[in-house]
This record gives sequence, structure tokens and C-alpha cells, in this order.
Amino acid sequence: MPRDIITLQVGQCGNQVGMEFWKQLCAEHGINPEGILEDFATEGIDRKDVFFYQADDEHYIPRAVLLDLEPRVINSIMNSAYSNLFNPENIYMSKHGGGAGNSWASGYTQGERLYEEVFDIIDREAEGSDSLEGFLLCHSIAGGTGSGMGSYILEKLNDRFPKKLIQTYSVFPNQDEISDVVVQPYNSLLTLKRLTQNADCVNVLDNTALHRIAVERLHIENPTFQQINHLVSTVMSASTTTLRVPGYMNNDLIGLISSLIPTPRLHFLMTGYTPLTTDSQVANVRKTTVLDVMRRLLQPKNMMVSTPINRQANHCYISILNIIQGEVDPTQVHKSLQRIRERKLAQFIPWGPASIQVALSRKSPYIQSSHRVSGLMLANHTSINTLFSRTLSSYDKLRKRGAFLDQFRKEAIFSDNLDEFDDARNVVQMLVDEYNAATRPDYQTRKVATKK
Amino acid sequence: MAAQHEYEAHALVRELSVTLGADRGDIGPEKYVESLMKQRGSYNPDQISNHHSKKAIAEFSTTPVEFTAKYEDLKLKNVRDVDAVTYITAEIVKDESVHSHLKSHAVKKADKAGVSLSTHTLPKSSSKTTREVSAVDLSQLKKSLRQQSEHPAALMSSDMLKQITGNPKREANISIPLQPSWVFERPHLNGGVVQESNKLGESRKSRGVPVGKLPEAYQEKVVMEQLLACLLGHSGEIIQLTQDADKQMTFTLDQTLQPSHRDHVQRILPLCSAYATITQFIRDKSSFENGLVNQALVEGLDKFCTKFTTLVCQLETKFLQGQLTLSHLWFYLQPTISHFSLLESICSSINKGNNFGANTLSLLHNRLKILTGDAQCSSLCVELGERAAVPYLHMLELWLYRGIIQDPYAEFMVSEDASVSKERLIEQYNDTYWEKRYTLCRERIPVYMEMYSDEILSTGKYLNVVRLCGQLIRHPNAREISYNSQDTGYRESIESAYSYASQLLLDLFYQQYHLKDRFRSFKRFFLLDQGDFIVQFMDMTNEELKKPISRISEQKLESLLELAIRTSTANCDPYKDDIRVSLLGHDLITQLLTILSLESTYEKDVKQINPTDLNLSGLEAFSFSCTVQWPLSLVFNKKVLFRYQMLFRHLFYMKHVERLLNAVWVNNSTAKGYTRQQLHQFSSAFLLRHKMLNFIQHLQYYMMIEVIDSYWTEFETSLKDVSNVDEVLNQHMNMLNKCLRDCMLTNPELLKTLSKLQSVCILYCNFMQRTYHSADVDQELSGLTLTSSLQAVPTITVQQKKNKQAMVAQHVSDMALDDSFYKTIANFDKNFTETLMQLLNAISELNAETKLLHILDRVNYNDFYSS
Repeated sequence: MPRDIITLQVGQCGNQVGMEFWKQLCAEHGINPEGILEDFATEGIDRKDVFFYQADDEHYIPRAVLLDLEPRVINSIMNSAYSNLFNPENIYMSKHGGGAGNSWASGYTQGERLYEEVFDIIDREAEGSDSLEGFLLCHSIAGGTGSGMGSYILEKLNDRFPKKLIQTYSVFPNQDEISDVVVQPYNSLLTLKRLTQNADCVNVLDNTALHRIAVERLHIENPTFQQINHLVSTVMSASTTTLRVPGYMNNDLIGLISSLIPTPRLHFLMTGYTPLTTDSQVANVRKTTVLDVMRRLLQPKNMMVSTPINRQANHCYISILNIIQGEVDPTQVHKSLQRIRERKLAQFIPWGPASIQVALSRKSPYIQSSHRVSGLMLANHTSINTLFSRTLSSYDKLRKRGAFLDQFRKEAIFSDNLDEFDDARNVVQMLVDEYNAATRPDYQTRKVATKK
Repeated sequence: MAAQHEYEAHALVRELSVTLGADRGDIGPEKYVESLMKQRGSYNPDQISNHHSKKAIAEFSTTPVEFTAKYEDLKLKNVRDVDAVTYITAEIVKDESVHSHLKSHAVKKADKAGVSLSTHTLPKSSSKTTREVSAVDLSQLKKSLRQQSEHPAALMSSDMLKQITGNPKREANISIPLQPSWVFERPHLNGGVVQESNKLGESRKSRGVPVGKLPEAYQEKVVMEQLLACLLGHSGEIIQLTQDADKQMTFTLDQTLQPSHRDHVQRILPLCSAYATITQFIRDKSSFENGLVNQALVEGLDKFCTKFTTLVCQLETKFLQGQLTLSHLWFYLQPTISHFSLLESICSSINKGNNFGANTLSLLHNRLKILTGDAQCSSLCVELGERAAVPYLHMLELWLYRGIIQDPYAEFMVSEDASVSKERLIEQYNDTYWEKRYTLCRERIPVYMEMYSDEILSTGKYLNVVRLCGQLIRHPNAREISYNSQDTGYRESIESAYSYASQLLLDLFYQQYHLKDRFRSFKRFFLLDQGDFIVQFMDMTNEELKKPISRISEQKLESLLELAIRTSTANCDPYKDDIRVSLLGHDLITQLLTILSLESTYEKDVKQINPTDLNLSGLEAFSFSCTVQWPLSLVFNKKVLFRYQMLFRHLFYMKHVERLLNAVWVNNSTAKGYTRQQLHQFSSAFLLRHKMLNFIQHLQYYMMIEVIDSYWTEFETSLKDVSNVDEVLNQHMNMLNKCLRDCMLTNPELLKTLSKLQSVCILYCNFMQRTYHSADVDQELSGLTLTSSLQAVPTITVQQKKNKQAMVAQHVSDMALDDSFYKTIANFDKNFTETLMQLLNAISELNAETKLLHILDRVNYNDFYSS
């Protein structure tokens, strides 16, 4: 009876990222692409049953539901070495295969139409698990399926499983390059509304930052999707490591995120990871210490969100959780915390207690890594709202021109009016405001004042 | 000594203050303990001049002469720790306030005991009894005030004195075989001096003529004849031998003897008395109750006597052949005289000190040291020492190589207490078996073994454990240990035996009983090393554990525990079957207090002190226990288990509070869909929850990572280079003690504050859950579909959903608008923050040695609480 987590991967991006995630998990748990436990991994101290379950023939099957409105990505998965890993009943591809045409509205409507079929799968999966703790949704917020259908699923999950946690890994579009998806701001805005209102915890993976990291840190000139997705899967696997390889603390999802998120709306987390390497890079000779890891994690260049941290002085951390993997001397933790505090490397909120939590976790013994220690940071930082402001402003530009609204009007949700847009804009604006307010000492009292 | 723990110090101080009636109540024992811990180890016998102490006491005393005499006497008797007691007494004498307090207390005590004690004799410590009384109390008082107390000598001194002065030397339980009656009835058989019967003496005397009247040459003959007889203890006419009541020999020489002869005889006479004393000694000491050592010594002496008899015979032959003159005789006897006077003095000191066993050996050895330079005498002494030591060394060999004690007369330095059985290890809160089964008797250690005594004790103790595990012990290089005039002469044998035994036992523990895995298993279950199983267990037992313990079924918990273990990573633990559920009838604070009071009084049982509180909830009472078999029960004895349990309960309850807060978080998270207005109304409640969660989680991080994991890592590292089991035990205990200390489990005040904080958190959670629950119920009443169950979810229209959401939100905000909600939250907030500040302040006042200060850094990382 573990605390199971069901992974939902929606859309092209979601499935690609998800696939990388599963590859990583399989490697870490010593499960081969067929789902069979390798001989060397039978005596593990890890928990495979959080993300996998065992079929009658003992092979491991991911608790994953693969959803897409077009068959390309899922087909490529089914043609890969991992084709036998997934439960084929858990894969849903839209029959006509047309996709959502990069339109949120289309994805949403199709999600609505496919509700029965999709939730049959999810319900079956949920009933099959002994004590479901929550869902993990992988998607992008810019395209059609991941954003539209993802939004619809979020809403419904909230209704059907009100006490289950919903955590998402949401890929935000690269804002440095001109996207071929012209309605991207619309899609993002509408998805953001659902992420705000229906998810419990959103791990923001900003494509802009991921690209920057690939180029600047990993020295890849033109990073491929796979390389970027590998970054994402690293983060995903690291952030679930305390669930999978239990240590003293953070052995359930709720314990992991509850202290990161003080108030329900402020649940957008940034991630940072160190050391970032690709296979081609030579192992670092230097000894990695806890302090090194923690200090590097606080550097903006290692963050997977492109926000101007530290440039705007009043933005601050609401909370930080560092998951440090590998052989670590626990006595170093306190010293490192002290050092960071003395040097004021991190600015914290003035309205409540905040500090860096450090969870120590073991490394998978099955993966050879050149690094003794690696670290992941999950941080709730107020500057994340710049990302949302950017979305708002590009939405405003587009909306002012009234561009591309026709394809939205075609769908049921917008057939009467465009109130949904205004509502979404409101919600996102509120979120931006709340994050801004959280930088100020009167965050809490301010609200009481508005009431009275 | 390093393993000496705060608990023990605590208990000692408390006991002391009770004994001395110094229990004033206003100053807790904590203060003393603190000063005690700081100053410990400042007493070092080598650095302190006894002379000064002696002088100080003597000056103070009204009867300095008696005191000095007593001191010398005790010294002579080889009573150890005389110096330590002297030192303490001197210190007390110097400290006016202590002294006066003790004085009054002793008078009180004496009154109570019905003994009238004239005050002036008390502090003067001249009479033995007063000195004993004061020494017992004083030595303990000093313990708390100065720091020699931690020194074993001081701890023991009082008992020692009592034993030496009060009890007869021999323990009652040793059965001494009866000697046949002829031993006493036939004195001539023993070859000693026999008081001639009067009749015989009369007939001898009938010679009539006084010796002085005889011609000179004849005089010499007669004298020589009598002298030769006298040498073997026969009284004669000229030389009369008398024995007074004290068995003291005196010789009276006929005064009519020619002066030159008299002179010669006079010089030889000491030999006669020496021989007499020695033979008397031989006779006295050869009885059973004098012990093997004395018997062996006597045997050695007997050899000398035999030789001496031979010599006398030879001389007599010569004399009969007419080849011997008095001066010749003197010449021949000269070396023997010096030897015999030495032997005599040895015998008389043994008689005087009534020495026994090791004391005899020490005496011989000390004598040898004095004799350096006199080659003949020292070789004599060595020979005696060798002979006397034979039985003792044989016992030592048996002990060192096989772990057996064969000691019929209680002479060996290690004594065995058979009443301490190994089964009690897991039943009683103490480590008696390891500590008390075999103990060193300090007065039974020969001086030259003193430096090895601990090793000797451990060696046999280890071998014993190995033996009890059913293993054969074949010491690879067991060599005969023989007497060595150098103190260091035994080092090699003892150390090789010691290292063999410790290695043997260590290997046994590590290889056959997998001690390291056991440690890890304990860490996993009691210290929540891999927390998934406990999360699972708590999920499953949530309902059961909320009940009061009287209504909890242990079998149910047991089976749930098994299920939790089987389905988690703990399943790979080889010792998972030994883990049991146990519900303790008292909460953590009571347990702590119990332990504090229990450290000294090992014998009492915990349950007697605290009646089971049946209203305790399962959560507060829950703990694991673990059944460990011999010999691992040595390591995981009740004392150790108790510590693990305390840590576990602490962590367990912490987890419970965290879970409650997390549950509130989950409920709160539904608020993400609320309007800004609604959301804001809850913000104070959210923030309070965040504060609580932050505190509880960081405390857990602190305890688990900074305290437990750190100390554990240290412990595991230290295990790599331990060489014996005692070190393992010490390190283990040390680690646990440090964990307890840094998890606030040694400080009742901190723990109380902490549990208050926890209860504030729990009350808050209950309040929040009630608020949400009533919202849920309302919603149900309003006829809308409840969506909390998985199955019954028909498709709801958007409109319905919106309605429902609005309803709940409305309800919740109605409630929030209600002022009482704010007031309650504000109240909780105030309570929590105040208690937290109280805790943080209390911690900040602690001395810097503990890691507890780290809590401050963690909880107040962004200086939120300092503003």
C-alpha cells in the first residue's frame, strides 16, 4: 500500500517529456525497457510501487496514462524499445488523429467529448491503486492538446478526486523565439487559469531557460527536443526521488509540497538543478560539497525558469526545498545553511518564517554518475510572476487586435461570448498581484484590511 | 568515564542531596549537574599531594596523632583509595560552608539513628566510625560540588571504607572446608615452636648446676647444644623460650653465661625468634580460610624452614664431631639471620594487616621494591613472591584464557555474581549483566596487576560471552604466566589474551550475529531511517491509534505493522520479524522523568513508579519494541531499547502532528478556486498553518538529519576502528545519549514546551477540520452531489459544478466573516507564537555544547521571529 501517483501525459510535449521521465525511472530502478527487473536490482532499497505496479507476470508497468489527439508521438513511443512497458489500455489516441490544431479551444472541446473514454482509463487506474495520493500531469501550456485537453482534465480531476493532489510539470513556451503557434498567448493564458485554480502544485519548466541552459551551460549550439526533454526528465526524477528512495523525510507527495506552498494560489514552483552535464562532458574532478551544491542551486543560471531573479530587489523566496542526492556528510548541512544565511545569498519573505529545507536522498546505485553529489532545488519565488505578466502582456497585444479569435469562437465554450478570456485574464492578473503582494511585509494584513 | 551520562549525574546529585538533606527545592539538580559536567575529571590522584591533605586534616583535627596513626594503619593494610578519601576530607575541611552543613546533618542523622555523637568528634575524623560516616556523605557531596566525583576512586571510596572497616573480610557465602581436629590437637606435627610442657621443662632443669659455674670450654658446648635446639624452637635451661598471649616469643638467657659467649648467643637469638615466628605463621596460615595465596606463601616459607632445619642438623653433626665453635656457628648462621629477619618481618606485617590473597601479593611485591640493592634478600623475596603468586596466577590464566573463575576463597580480583542472569537483560531497565555479573574487587588486585585490571576483567568477560554462546575457546598462544618482579612483565601475556578475547567476541558479534545489520535495522525501525513504512503504517492505523489505549487491540496493530513492513522498503530488512508493537502506559515526558529518577536506582521497575494511564491515546503511547536474543541482548539491553523507544516516540508524534497539518493543507488547497475576497479571509489561518508546518518540518529535518543522521554517521565510522565490545557498547550508548540530548529528550522543561506547541498545532488542526467538515455537511444537506467518493460521480454539468463551488465558498466565507473565526485563529496564533518564542528563548540560553542551537537557525532562518 504505497502512496501511489498516477502520471498523465497529455499532448505531444507531455508525452515526449513523460517518455524521458519513464526512461529515467526505469534506469534508476533497474527496470529494463520490457518492464522486467534486472537481476542486479532485485534487492533494492527503493520503492518501485509508487510509480509502477506489477502485472501478474511480475513485470513492472508504469502507472501512466498517455493521451494525445494525434498519433505521431505515441506511435514513436510504441515503436521504440519501450513499446511493451506501458499498459496498452492506458494509451488513448484520438481516432481521427487530427490533433488540436494548436488551439486551446479545440483541445478543450475534444477533451470534453472524450471525457468518458479518458476518465474510464483514469478511474480504472485509480481504482487499481491501493492508496492513491495524487496525479502528476505532464503537458505544455502553449500547444493545443496539452493546454486545452490538459485544462479540461485538470478541471475534471479536481471534481472527481477532490482530495487527491494534482501536481503538474508544465512546460512554458520559449519566449525568445517566434513561435509557429500564433495563438500561444491565448493558449497559455487559458491554461494558466486552470493551473491556478485546479492544480495543487505546478512545476514550471520554462523552455526559454531550458534552451539557455542547454546552450550556455551544456554548450549545445542547437539543442534538440530530446536534449531539452532530458533536462526535464532529470528534474522530474530528482523531484520524486524522496518518494521513490525513501529517506528520513518527505516520503509522501504532500510532505514534499505542503511546506513549499503557504497559501493555495502561490503554488508555482521553480526548479534548479546542478550539476548540469551531458554525456559528452568529462567528469568534474573537483569534490562536490553540500555547500557547493546549495550555493550553485541559488544561482539564477541554474534555474529552469527565466526570470530576472535578484535584479528586482524586492522579489524574494517564499520557500525552498533542496533535495540533495548522493554521498553527503549530514554534518555539513548545518554549516552550509549557516553560510548561506550569513552571506545573504537568498532573500526571503518578510511576512512569515521561511528557510531552506534540505532533504538528503540516496542515489540510484544502478546509474553511473560522474558526480558524487547532485542537487535539485524546488523554490517558490515571487519573481515567477514576471512569467505570467509576460503572458498577460502578449495576450493583451493579441487581444487588442482581436486576432485569431475566429478559431476559438468555433468551439462551444466560446460560441456565446469571450467571457472565458476575460475571466482567465482576471485570474492570472490576480495571481500576478498576489505574488507581488507576497514580496511585502503586509501580505497577510493587507488582505484583512481590504475586507473591513 | 566518557560514557558517564547526564542522566546518571542527575541521579547521583539527586540522591546525594537527599542523603544530605540538602534538598532545598529552590535550586534544581540541573545547576549542579551542569557545573559537575564542566569540571569533571579534575581529580587526578597523581597530581595531588597526600601530604597536604593529611596536614590539612591533622591541623583541623583535635586529635592529630590519632588521625595520623589511623591513616598509617590504613595505609599499611593496603586499603586503596585512602588517599582519595583523605583528599576529599581535606577539601571539606577547607570549605567552611560545606563542612558546617555536614556537621549539622550528621548530628541529625546520628540522632535519628539513636547514636549519640558528640559533635566535636565528628569533623575531626579521628575515630574510625565518624570518619566513615562523614566520608560516605562527604565524598558524595564533594562529588556534586567539586569534580573528583567522576573519578572512580572517589565513587568507590565510601563503599570501600565501609567494607573494610565494617564487614569481616571474608564473604559469608564462601564455604570453607573444616580442618580435621588433629591439626589442633597434635601441635608437634607442625614443626613449630611448642610451648614445652612444664614437666619436661622441670626434668631439663634438674641439671642443677648453673651454666656460669661450668668451665669455659664446657660452657661453650652446653650453650651450643642448647642453642641448636633452640634454633628449632626448643626451650632449654640456659636459653628459655616463653610465648606470651600474643604468641610473641621471648628468650631469656642465663645471665651467668660467660660474656663472650653471651654476646654470640645474643646475636644468634633473633634467628631463633624469627624461626619461631615463621613456623607459627606457617601453622596459622596453612588453614583453609587463609586462602590459596597465603597457603602458597606458607609453602614457600616452609621450604626455607626445611632448609634451615637441614642446616641446623648439619651444624649439629659438626658440633657432635667437635668441629664447631660458637664463632663458627655465628659465621655459618650469619646469612640466614638476615634472611630470616626479613621473612619474619614479612610474616608479622601479614599478621598485623591480616592480609589475604592479593594483599599478601602486594605486600611481597612492595617489600621487594624496597629491597633493591640487597641482591640476596631480593632474590629471596622474588622467590617468595613467585611461590605465593602461583595459585593467583593460575586463576588468572584460567580467567584470561578460558573465562573461568576458580576461586574458592574469594581471592581473585574478579568476582562473579551468579544471581545476575542474562535473561534479565531484556526484562529490566539496566545493563546489570554486563556491568554486574563480573566485577573487579579493587582490594583483590595485586599492585603489580593494577594497571591491567580493566583489561583482565574485560578479557574474561568477553570469553564468558563467547562460552555462553556455545563456542569453544582455544587460545592460540596461551602461555604460562609467571611472577615477574617488573610491573610491566605481564603486559605481553595479558595484552595478547585481551586482544584475542576482544577480537574473538567482536568477530562473534559481527560475523555470527551480524551486529552491524542489527544496528541498521534498529535505525530503520526506531529512527525512521527509511520513512516510507512509517507513513504507510500511520495511514493504516490512523483510526486505531486515535482511541485510548485501553480500547486498542494490539493484535490488530501487530498485523497492520506487519503489512506495512511487508509492503515497504523495510521488507528487505532481515530482522523485521523481531519488531513488535508495544503500547507504553505513560507519555514521553513521564518516561523522561522516570528515566531521570531511575538512573541511580536500577533495581526499581518502571511500572511501579508510574501507574498506567489508560486514557492515553494510542498515538501517545505507541512504540515499537524489539526482541533480541542473547548475546545481542548485551548490546540492545533494556536501557538501550528505552532510549530507542524514546527517540522513536518523539519522532513518531512529530510525524503525526505533521500529518495533521498536511491534512489541513489539503483541505485548504481547495481554496485555490475561491475569489480573491474569500481567499483573503482565510489568509491568517493559512499563514498560521504555514508557521506551524514550517516549525514542525524544520524540527524534524533538524532531528533527523543534523542530529540522528550525523551522530549515526559518526557512530558507524567509529565502529570501523573499535577493538573490543566495550567500545562498541560505549560508542552506541554515547550516540544514543547525544541524540537524546539534542532532541530535547534530556530536558523536561524543553520537552514540556515542545509538547505544548504540538498540542497547539493539534488543536488548530482539529478546529480547521471542523470548520471544513461543517462546510461539507451543509453542502450535503443542500442536496447537491457530494464528490468525495470515487464511485458515485455522475457527470455534473458545468452549472451544477459552479453552483456547488459557490455554495461551499459562500459557506466558508460566511464562517470566515464570523468574528469568532478570526478570534479563534488569532488566539491560536498568539498561543503558538508565544510558546514558540518561549521554546526558542529557552534553547538560546542553553550552553553551546549541544546542537540544539541549530534549531534556532533553522526555525528563524529569515529572522522572522527575531523582529
